[in-house]
Amino acid sequence: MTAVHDASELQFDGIPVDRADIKKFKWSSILWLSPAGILVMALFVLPTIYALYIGFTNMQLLGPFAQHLSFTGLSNFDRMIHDPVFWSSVKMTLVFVIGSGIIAQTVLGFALALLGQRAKISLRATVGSIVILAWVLPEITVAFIWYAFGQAGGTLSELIARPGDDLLATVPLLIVCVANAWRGTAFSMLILSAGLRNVPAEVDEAAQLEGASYWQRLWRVTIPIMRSTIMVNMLLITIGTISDFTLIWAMTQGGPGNETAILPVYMYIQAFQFNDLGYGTAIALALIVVGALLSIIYVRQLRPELKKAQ
Amino acid sequence: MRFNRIRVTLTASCVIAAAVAVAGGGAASASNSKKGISVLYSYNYVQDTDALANAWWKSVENQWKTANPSTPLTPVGVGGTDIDEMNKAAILFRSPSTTPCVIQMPTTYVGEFASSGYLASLNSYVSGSSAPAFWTGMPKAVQEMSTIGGKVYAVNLGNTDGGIVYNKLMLEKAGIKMPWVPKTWADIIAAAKAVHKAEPKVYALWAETGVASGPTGILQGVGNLIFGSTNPQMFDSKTGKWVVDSPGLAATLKFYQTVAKDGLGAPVSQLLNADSLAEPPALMQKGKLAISFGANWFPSTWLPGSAEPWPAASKDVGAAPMPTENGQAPGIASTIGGWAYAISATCTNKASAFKFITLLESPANQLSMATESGFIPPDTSVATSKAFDTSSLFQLQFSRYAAIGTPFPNNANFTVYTRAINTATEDFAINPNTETVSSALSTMKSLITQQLGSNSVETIKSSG
Repeated sequence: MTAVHDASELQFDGIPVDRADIKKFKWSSILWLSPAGILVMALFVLPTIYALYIGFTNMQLLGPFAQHLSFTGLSNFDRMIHDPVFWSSVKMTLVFVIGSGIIAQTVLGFALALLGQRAKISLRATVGSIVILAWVLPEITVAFIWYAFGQAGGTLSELIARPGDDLLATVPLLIVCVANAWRGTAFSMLILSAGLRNVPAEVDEAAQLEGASYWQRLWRVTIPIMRSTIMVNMLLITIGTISDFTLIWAMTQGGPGNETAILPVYMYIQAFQFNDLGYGTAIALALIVVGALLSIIYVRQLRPELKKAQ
Repeated sequence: MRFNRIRVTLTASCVIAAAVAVAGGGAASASNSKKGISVLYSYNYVQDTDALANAWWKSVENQWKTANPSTPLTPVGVGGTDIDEMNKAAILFRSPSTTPCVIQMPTTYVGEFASSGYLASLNSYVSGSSAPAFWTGMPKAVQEMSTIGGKVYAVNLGNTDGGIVYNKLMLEKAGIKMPWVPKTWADIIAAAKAVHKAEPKVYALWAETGVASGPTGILQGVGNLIFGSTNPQMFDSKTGKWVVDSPGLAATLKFYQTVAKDGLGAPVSQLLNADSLAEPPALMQKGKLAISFGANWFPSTWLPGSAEPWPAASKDVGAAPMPTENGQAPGIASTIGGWAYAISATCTNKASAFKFITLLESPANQLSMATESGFIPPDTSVATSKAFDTSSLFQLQFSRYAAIGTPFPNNANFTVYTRAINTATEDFAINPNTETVSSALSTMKSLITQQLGSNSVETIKSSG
């Protein structure tokens, strides 16, 4: 039971005073908040509302409904439910985000961070610099590197001793996933390296004295301590990957067929190649739902840490 | 819950950024003043190099300034492909304040812009005795490329048509006698097989495919087969439906199947590359490609100072028209498409805008545009001039193919058909051993019906 107090009841020597434990609303705060508020309204809230509205219309980029759009209710969403390409796009998006983003980047980044921890400083710096180079390269450059790497006669097909194989055409989703993992691993490595440095050495030493093996200490001591860092890293990867467009568009344009058309790419195809802005925006809204669902999973996983913080 | 909201907001904001991009907006750069005019053009895709494009537009700007000092001209160049220029234009046209007066556009987009209500009818400028000479000098087929329902929405500035270009040395090595002029599609396949047998490591035949190549890929590839088949139709204007199955279309896809299955084509990622349209002339110059479904612009890339100079091209390269499927009348077929100038419906200075177009279409400007872009000039007097004939190889030859050229349907949904047919043909390149003609036809049908509904397609059962 928490008593509700009126701040005006509190007096000191008969003079009303503000309570320090209850923040009193000040009208002047509106002034200080207004720049941020205006920006959020203009750049986020209003476009979201507009996008929501467009998703319920037949608006076209070009065509009879480009200027004379009309409200079409749930027809875009009804079409989406019955669109097999949309559902395959959802599956590919999940594979791309979970496979190449969350799993591959976290595992590889963590492995590099662990190796870096045990390596000589000079070696760690060299490897770290090389890995970070992939991250700082513009996405379009990464796309062209992997395009050249994955096509017939490219380095990858030479490496597997099948120079005639056109891996970008035969296993396109795998190649774009590998390219994405290659690019994003450095980010994970940086975050997780910082996390590793925060693991108290004495805890690890105590476990070592108890006879725990390296893998036991890693699994039962280091990872649990780093749980929140790993989760935040995965969350940031998800945010960065789920809306990725450039990499896939430059490498495959969503093809062959629709085999790499993840939701942002499929949205672009519908809006800018088929001129169907209404349906494209409806797909964008579906992407928000997918993102929100993944966010809920993270929030649930982070709940223990949040409770501790409170 | 605050944490939850932050996370959802973070994720959503990324996604919303994409949604907002879809939902509209866009930089405003081309605007019309009451006094002046603006022109939106591609500096990256029409002429052979950006430098040529920039110099050409600077030159016409100076010509305009000299002749019309009181009417300011604002040129707005756009980079990227034809599709990029059209996407940019589509966004600019959403607001009259950002809409340019004059636009340089591919003829395949005229229908989409016209159906949006974005283009002004030019009938009053091109009808009657006051019609300008450049217009009256155009063949009727070229005039009609941008005419919809009797309304002229754009005037052609240059055309591309299709044919076959081949490396004589490579064909001779395969035992094929020169000059090689195939009479049927079977002749093309036979020659490609002979080359493949003689030199298994080279690409025997380049038949353009892939969704990345867009409508130009059809112009330079499968369209030539469809228009030479026994059912030379993409769109049935009588029923208003897209043809997704016919004996002619099946034969067309069968051709692609044979090329892929017999290993006659290029590697799939090279074919499906967004730059694949520009690959054949370079590959042919390097002796890696023997026969290509080509276009009249190919030889311009071999001129001195161009991308792939090939001084010996005049004796080492041959050109032939695309034959019809079985050699049936008229014996040869070709697509034809090009670029055109149009005036926006919201332009407040249409008379000046058309005057500017007349300047752009002067014989000298037509000729320089054509030679720098690998176009056939739209005006017959320029297309048959000695200056044009000597500007590059095979120019008059391709000008003759243009006379029988079939333009693409002027329909707002052509982009949907484009992706469908390009997907159907690329499926053979990806799965050469498993893809069948019937599955390619069914892919095509499902891609169009998913987008436009089942009433938008039709099957033609007999050759026609």
